[in-house]
Amino acid sequence: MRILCALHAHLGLVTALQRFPELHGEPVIVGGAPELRLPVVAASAAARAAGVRPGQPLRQAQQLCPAAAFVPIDPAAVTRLREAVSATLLRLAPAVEVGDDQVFCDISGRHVQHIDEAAWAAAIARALDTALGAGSPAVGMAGSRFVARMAAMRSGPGRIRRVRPAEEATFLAPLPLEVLPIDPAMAARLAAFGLDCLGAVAGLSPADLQRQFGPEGIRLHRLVRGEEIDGLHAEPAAQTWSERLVLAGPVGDLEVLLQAARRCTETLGARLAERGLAAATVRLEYEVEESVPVAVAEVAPAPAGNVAEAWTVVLGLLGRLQPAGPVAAVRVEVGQLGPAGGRQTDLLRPGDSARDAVALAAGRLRARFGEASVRRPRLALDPGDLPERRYVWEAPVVAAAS
Amino acid sequence: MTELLEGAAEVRTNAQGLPVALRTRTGWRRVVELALTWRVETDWWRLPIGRDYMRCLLADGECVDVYRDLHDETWYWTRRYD
Amino acid sequence: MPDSLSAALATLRRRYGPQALRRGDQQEAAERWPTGIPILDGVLMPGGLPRGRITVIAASSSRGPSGRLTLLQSLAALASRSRDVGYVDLAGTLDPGFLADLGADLHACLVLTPGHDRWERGLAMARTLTGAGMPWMGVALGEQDRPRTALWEHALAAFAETVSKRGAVGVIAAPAPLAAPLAHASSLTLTCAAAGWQRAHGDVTGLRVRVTTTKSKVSAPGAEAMLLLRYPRPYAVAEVLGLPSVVAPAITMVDTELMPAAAVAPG
Repeated sequence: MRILCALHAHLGLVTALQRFPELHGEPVIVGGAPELRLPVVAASAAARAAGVRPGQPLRQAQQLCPAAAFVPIDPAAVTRLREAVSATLLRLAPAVEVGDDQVFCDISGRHVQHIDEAAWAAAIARALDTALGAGSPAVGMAGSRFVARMAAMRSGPGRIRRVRPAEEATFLAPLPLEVLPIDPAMAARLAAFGLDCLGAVAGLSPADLQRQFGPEGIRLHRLVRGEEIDGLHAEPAAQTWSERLVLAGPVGDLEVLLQAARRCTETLGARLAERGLAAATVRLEYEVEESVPVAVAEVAPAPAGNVAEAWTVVLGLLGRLQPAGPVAAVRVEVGQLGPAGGRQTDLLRPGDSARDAVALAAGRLRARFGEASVRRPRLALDPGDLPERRYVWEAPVVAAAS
Repeated sequence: MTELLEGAAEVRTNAQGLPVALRTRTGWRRVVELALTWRVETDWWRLPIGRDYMRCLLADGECVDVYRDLHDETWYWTRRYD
Repeated sequence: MPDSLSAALATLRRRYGPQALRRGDQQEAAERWPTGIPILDGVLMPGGLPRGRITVIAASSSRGPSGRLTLLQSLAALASRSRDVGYVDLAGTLDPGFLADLGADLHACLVLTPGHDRWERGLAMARTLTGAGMPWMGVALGEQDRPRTALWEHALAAFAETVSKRGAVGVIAAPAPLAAPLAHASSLTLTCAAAGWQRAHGDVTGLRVRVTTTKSKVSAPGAEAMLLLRYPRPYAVAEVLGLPSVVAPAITMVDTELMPAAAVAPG
């Protein structure tokens, strides 16, 4: 696995500066009024230069930087910004984790639009810069989450530091123990043993570390050798969106219903494309006058991520739905949303992504219509003279994921 | 050889046991010619199979293969040519 | 152009796909998939089968053979040598052994069996695999219980749209009479009329078929040719590979002609 880590301005600070643009370049402390007994959430560069650090009491921050502007955090704005950043990055990577001041992206494999890993990382950094408008991030790339973060911390704004595969342990070796995300008591014991850098810890055997620290010792061993397996903590996207159109009066004309479904689909498809998402399922519902609604749903042949793809699925559903009476409203619903541009089969090259996609689609059809609905024939090894024995049926093989 | 059929066939036979008419999806059709006949005997070591295959040209222009099971004297569809 | 006419044209394009309408003096530019069979690529469909379009192989008569299924299977077998092929078997009668005899690479073939005469489901399944990237999709419609048009025409439109979007080859073998939505959706319609069985040593070895380009949006319609659809002997793949399984006879055949469609056997 390859992971990219980008360190950027805290989302709370970015939203504060979006709200009060006149504070750009000024010392700004996010967290609330200084008289509140709350910690500093984020601080601008000018405030940090004065010694302000996240986690400090606001009152202490005021003493360090009396000229700073104190701004409360706006959780709703932060959530919106986080979603926007996530949608932007999901167009570039199959899995994304957006934190308050750092993002992680899965950059395993290759992206068809970028010649190599560095170009791919540069594209992600540019996208993040554009989405936040808060300066270029510091980027690191490595085979694990921890090493990628360390690489980013030893990079700089607008720079990318790459740790090549198998070089993780070498990169980590000279780093001090303070960088380890472990219990301080554990770090103190390591220091007490005379260990002063990660390389020294990596030199110990896993058995020794386990004897001293139990299961945490094994984790520590993996961590200092760049072999930790803690991947991305990607958040699931919203599961369902729907669009409902109330008709001017109950209608039975299929052409009108088609137009209504089209309008709903256009709205949803545009939203999917804008957010970089794709729907695995599509559902069409008619609200029938003086009767229960009728609906039909389908697993999309390939996740639908724009108007055209969604309309292809809805068009198929329209033919299957026969309203028993005049229809009062039409609803189109898209479900099981996931990243669109980040589908791994679309991103990876080389590899027969089309064939993999066909095999996966065939698997979905078999799950829906039965094992015998999609098969691959093979000539029998010993067919004899009976025509029905000349061949056997096999399940289509889905290629192993890279 | 384009369609592989299965299932029992309704067949009228002459005194020699050869088909003279078959019931197709559009009704009874006269067999105007037996283009080919051949016998298949296999699986003698487990459950023996014996079949007399016949390629029939029908009066409506169809060409079909049927076989008679030698054990139960039942007729079955095999193929329809298109 | 009046607004109402523009709206009507837009509706037709939405419903039947972007290829549904064109100006009378224009032929659509379409990429081709050459079959490698001279009589097809040179006469009946110059350049080969159109990609991103629906091609219909239609039977001319509902009685007797037409050759539509053998022609579809021959084309599918040819395609399977260079790409993945999907085959929707609505009658459930496909013989993979025969497909292999025609030279097909069975490893490249996926057979979809939606259920007897489930046209709508079959077309939806074809769309699914085409949308996922299947480059060549054949659909063999059954002839017995033809479902009501309303049940499957949307599925057909969706399939046509997906074929167009993915630039795939979509070939539908349809029974006679040709259903109106199929006639509309088709960019190229080849109509097959059987002209007699090919015989050798008393046996039936093939079917002679007169094929006419009855509709073409991608070239001039009206082309006509006589094809010989050979039934290769079972297990004779090596023999077939060197020769096209669809050939134009060099001379007029005078073997057994098809019988007139009367002569019902005594009841």
